Amino acid sequence: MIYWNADLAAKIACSSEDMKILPSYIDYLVDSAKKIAQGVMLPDSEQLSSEKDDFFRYGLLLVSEGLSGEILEEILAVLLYVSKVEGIEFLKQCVAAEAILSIANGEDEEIMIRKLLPYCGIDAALDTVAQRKSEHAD
Amino acid sequence: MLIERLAKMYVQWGAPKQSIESDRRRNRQIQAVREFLEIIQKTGENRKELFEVSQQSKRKATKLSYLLLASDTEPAAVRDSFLRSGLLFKGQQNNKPELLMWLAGTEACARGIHPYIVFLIMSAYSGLEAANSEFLWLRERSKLQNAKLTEYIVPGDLTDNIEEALSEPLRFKRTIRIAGMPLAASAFAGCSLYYIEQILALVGPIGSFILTEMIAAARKRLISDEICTAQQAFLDLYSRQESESSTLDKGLMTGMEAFEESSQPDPDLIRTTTDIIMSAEAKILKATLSSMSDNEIASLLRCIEPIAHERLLSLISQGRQRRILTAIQHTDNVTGEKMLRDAQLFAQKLLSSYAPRNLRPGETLKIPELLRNLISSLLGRE
Repeated sequence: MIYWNADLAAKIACSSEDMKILPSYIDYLVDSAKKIAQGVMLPDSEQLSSEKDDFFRYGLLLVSEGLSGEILEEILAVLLYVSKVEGIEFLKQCVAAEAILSIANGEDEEIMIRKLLPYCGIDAALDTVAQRKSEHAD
Repeated sequence: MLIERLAKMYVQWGAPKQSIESDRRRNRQIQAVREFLEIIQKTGENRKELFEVSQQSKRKATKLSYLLLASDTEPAAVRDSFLRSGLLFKGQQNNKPELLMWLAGTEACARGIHPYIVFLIMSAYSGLEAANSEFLWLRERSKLQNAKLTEYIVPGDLTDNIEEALSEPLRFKRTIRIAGMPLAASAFAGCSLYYIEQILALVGPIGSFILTEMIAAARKRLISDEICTAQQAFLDLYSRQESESSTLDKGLMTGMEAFEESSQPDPDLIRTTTDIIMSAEAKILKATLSSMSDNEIASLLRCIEPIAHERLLSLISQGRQRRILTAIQHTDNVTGEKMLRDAQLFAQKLLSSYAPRNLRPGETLKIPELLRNLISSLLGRE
């Protein structure tokens, strides 16, 4: 079942020009997740104070308290629901929320990328996956 | 999926109704949620007290929330009550986030979710900035809470392996999140305070307080067998997580494998190790196995004959047996040198299990002659 709401569609809509920043933002989130998994960056408040992305930082704070699964998803969904930003900034929050859930669930880089890339649009996602595959093959 | 949940919220409640929010109004809302947390914590299961609070509440949504909780309303019925009260509207009509907040808080309480988590859910309705400041407020509050646990140990899979598991804190933390706090707390309920303190240090002050309260509740609610089952389930999840060190080791191994010579197992080593296991006392053997990790036991099983396999496996729980068999499946071919080292490590651990805590200098260990000779022969091998 696909849920559809015009208000949400309007809030998330952004131009293809705006969308261009999304792949590099996804790279940044994946890189942060990698650092957390390796213990290079601990998701506690002191180390996170330098994190400029407020949404991502808050999500990681929740993760550092041991929150995950349904509860974490509920909190992040509420934050997105009441979020006042629109367009690419809102889309970035959606992507950050997915990344936070992936980090909390201990998912590996590949799964995380496959979850985040579709936010760039299906063509861009397929291109990036194909590119990554050929890089791995090399 | 997150985006699906968000879309569902839009479909059910419409876009959040934007109202001109004054600082005063926002502060009042935040204050009401803090008060809600305090009352829920204070009244606990006391329905009468909750009913009294509901009578004193002036705002409709707050009053309804307290009333529903006082009357022990089923979680599924909470939403209907809010809709019937006329406070909320279905079908994409714009609803006020404040009212949705009271619905979410009441539903979460009715589901038995910890009040601190309820607070985090509710404060999210005030937006990111307020949620962040309320998080910091809750964290400070958690530090001041004085929740103490007493010593209570339930022997089981986790208590046997906790030290080894905690040696990989990142993996342990990840397992807590994947297991979820209720299962993790039920498993930790059987661990000693010494280890519980180490576990609590892995999460922040809020998570630590929630876990402490959940552990205390699990100890009251669960019998030993249930705690054992929770321990087994938690450890199974822990085993499924890829070991941080093993990933690293694997990377190193691929380079090393080319240089390592694979030698045939030494029949004499296998016979000696088997004889040691068959001659050792069951009680001592059990204590030795408790001090060994799953991987160490898996390695030991490669150095012994099937008859000794049976003896070893009969001394450990079924859950641990499964994990050891999984560990064997994931181990690559071992060299003769590695087998010797594994067998010698086991012999050393067996010796220390024989040694009493108050062994005086000059006093000899009470080990049967035959076993003593076998251990000496094994440890003397190169």
